[in-house]
Amino acid sequence: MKKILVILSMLFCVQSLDAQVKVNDVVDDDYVRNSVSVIVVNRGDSYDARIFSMAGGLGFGEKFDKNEIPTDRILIKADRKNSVETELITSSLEREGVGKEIISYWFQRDASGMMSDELILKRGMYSVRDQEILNSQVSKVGISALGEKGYDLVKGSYVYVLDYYNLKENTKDKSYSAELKASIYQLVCSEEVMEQLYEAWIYNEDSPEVVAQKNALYDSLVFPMEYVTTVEASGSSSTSLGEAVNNAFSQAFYRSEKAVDDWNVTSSIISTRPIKAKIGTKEGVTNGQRFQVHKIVEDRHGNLDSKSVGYVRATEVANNSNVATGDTEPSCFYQISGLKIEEGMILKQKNDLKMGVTVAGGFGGYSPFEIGLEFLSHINTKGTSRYVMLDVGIGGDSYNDLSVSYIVPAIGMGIAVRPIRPVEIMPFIQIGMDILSTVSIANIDYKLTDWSSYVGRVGARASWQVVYPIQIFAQAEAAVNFGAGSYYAFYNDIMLAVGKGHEQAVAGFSFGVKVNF
Amino acid sequence: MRRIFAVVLAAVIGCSTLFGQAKKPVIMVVPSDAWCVRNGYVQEFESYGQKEMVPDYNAALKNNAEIRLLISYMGDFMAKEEFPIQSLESVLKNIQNESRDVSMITSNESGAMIMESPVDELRRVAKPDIILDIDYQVKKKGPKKQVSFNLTAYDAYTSKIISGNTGVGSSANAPVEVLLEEAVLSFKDNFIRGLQNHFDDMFANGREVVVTLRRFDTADVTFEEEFDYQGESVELADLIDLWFSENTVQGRYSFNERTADVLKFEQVRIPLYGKNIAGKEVAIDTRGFVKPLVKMLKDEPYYIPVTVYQKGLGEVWLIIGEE
Amino acid sequence: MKKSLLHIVIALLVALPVSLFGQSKREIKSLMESFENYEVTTVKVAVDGTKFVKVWGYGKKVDDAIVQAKKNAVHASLFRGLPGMESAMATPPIFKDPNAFDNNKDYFIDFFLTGGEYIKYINVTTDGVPSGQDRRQVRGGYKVALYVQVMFDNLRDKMEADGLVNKLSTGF
Repeated sequence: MKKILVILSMLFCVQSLDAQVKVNDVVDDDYVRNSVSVIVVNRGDSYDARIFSMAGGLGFGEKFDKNEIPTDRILIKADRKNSVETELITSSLEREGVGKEIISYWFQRDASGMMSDELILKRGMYSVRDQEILNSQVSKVGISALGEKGYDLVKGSYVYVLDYYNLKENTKDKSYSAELKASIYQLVCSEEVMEQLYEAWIYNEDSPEVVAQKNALYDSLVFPMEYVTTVEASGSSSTSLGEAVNNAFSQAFYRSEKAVDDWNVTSSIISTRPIKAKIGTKEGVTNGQRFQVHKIVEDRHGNLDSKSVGYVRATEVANNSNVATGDTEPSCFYQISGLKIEEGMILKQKNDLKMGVTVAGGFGGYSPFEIGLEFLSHINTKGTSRYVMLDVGIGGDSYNDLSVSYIVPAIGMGIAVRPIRPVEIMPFIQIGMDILSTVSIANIDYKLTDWSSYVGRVGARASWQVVYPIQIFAQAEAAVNFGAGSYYAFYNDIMLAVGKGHEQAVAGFSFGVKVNF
Repeated sequence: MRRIFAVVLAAVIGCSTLFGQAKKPVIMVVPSDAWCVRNGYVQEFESYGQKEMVPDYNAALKNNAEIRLLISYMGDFMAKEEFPIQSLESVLKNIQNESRDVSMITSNESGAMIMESPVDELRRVAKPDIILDIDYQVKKKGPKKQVSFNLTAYDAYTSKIISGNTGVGSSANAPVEVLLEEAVLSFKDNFIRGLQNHFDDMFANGREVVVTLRRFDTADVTFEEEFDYQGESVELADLIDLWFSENTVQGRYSFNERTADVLKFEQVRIPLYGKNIAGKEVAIDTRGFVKPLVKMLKDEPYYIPVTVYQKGLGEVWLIIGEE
Repeated sequence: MKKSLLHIVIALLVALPVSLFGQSKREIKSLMESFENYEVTTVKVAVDGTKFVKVWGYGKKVDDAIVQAKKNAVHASLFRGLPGMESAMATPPIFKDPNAFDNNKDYFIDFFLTGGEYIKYINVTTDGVPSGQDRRQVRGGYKVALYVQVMFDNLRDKMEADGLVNKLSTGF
């Protein structure tokens, strides 16, 4: 008993140490909306048109504004077997003057060279936060200049270059796959760049000569793009190439959000019971999305540091897709790990797959050894979580020279409640198959239903989070076996006769570990 | 000495019925020359055969809503400080209506007609003590505008800067009126502090004025004339110098020009208050300050006739020889 | 038994007022100390008659730091002045005299003690609680920044009305 306590307390120490891990860059709650333009790489082959039309439907969601620029594809002639070199993409973007296209879009530059900041002000208004509204109400040039925030957004202009390669389309086998190299570039938008732009700004009172001069100046300007990063992804599908392309994109987007720090939403916690923050649909927040909580620490020399306090998940996501009025509805969050969270701490998006892998061993049930994959499909503000479960149990028996193995795949659902934060109590229900195999299987005309039976399972699991993201659990379950196929029944009965095999109804216990990622 | 003191007292009594407190300085806001030139509110006029550009305040006030707005913003906050600003518009109207009687005296000096510049004209008619010279510029930066401003407050008679305020406002796509108001609010308190310092200095060290003594050609004495003073023969100029040393605050003044025809006393610190015969504190102004001097000159043993011409509150000319 | 109870009661009666007195003395001391070192910056030119500043406060708890920041905003307006920035000129303090606080110590201690008059001259515009980098854990407590609108003209009027500072028109 004492030993266990020591181990437990050591584990606890590990947890608090982990919670104090230093974060390299000082986190702040200064997230601003970003915008993207999507460009597809054409290869000069038969896929060009199809890929382009497939990629055209891909969305970045509400979180990003879209900069509609004339260049939506670039041609880099190369075999589609491999991805194109990043340098080729970079030089191609330079050649097309994509940076200038983005600036022209932001400032709505028309054919005559006239520009306006209408779009900037509009987007600025849309991205304004409550704090900025409260501040503007007391400042002289306040409300009338709220939209000026839009100028901060120009900096967050990105180009997302999609290069699909190694496409596989097998209509006979219904197997489709695509690989994707997504290169991300950002507009360089310094003070000097803006000053240059203003030099070329045409005013109503400018004479035709001045207008011509300014247009010539604008033509000579270069608005550079900066390479940010590249992510690789792949997607497959059993229905269409389009879906494979789409899946690859989803994966690339997930990875991009992790790779580009500025794309991660930050906000501050405005209350703790429950945890709330003023972000929501506008920032693309979804139920279950993970955020890391940070606190700011200042040392004696005035140096700032941000320290991780723990993790939370979004629960009730507020619909804030409108212009803020100073009283924005907040979203709620549930703390899944860490130390005490206080008002004013910073939330920073830290996406995970919302998945967990379980490994368990037990007795009494159908499988002595089990691995599983669980997906968090929903979580509410009290921490009650819905999981979709996919389990595979493995076991085997032998009698004399007959040896059989059982594989029990099952899908199911569990609803976990949390009496206290580290503890989850989850009743679950599963349905699956119990597939029997022996060495002699190869000689027979194989039909799965002959070799299997159906399995129904109900159970309950109690898990304790020792250190995020690791949980240990104990599980009790009752299972029934029904609808056995002929071969299954034959071999299983042999086993049952000698006190082995899978009985019609069993009760079992198991212990295991779950790792979330 | 005693006599002088008695004279001072007598003069102070005379003033006391007029002023219960120190005279409130008259403040006026005037657009700067640079602003007028930039915005084309200028008039050309000929002086000594040379063409000169002078600000055309009338045109500026009539045609430029921004400057009117700016003046009104400033009038607004100065009114809250209980210093109503002299309206430039009404002063301009007065100028048009008023005869040019004072220029007669100046013409006596040079013998020629002098065209006054508009600022001189303003000073003559409005007699401001403090002029707020305002300059601003709206700079365009693409769709944004930014106001840069320069407000200088100076003592109208000494031309000393009381408070200088320069800066820029927010750069924003906001109405110019808002940006101008922001500029005013930006310098307001610093400007008021400048005035406060000026007034505090005034109350502590007296008001700074200029006293010039001149003589008409027809006068039968010059400032070099000698008179008997306590058994010694002393030049009139020295007697007057002595008077200043005894009547200025802490004897502070500078005797800058001394000829037979002109005596010029600058940076003369005059007390804001004197005591009347009943011992009551009363305020005095430049004219009140020199009154005992005039009385002294008119009385024995000098019997010199003196004309007092006051140039606003801060400068006075005593012209001897005629009354 | 009875005797010892009596002793305890007496001891409590003696200690109570002393500790109360000690408390307020400590409060005054900490108030004076906190005025020695704080940061204040102008955010923007505020609407007429007011100043818009970001001011820092320090306290053992976040709430204490917030209260201190509020006091500091008023203190800065009275005695320190508000620094200028790119698009706003500096504002001189209401009191020219650097010894104004000490010369009217009783008045200002009353004015600044928690729940004192000072609270009438500020309007906190921070949305909720100080957050992000405006809320810093430091040794022994918290340092927070508040966005505060100081009712500067009202504050000056108050000082004028209480005869602590002259009006611009005084003497005329």
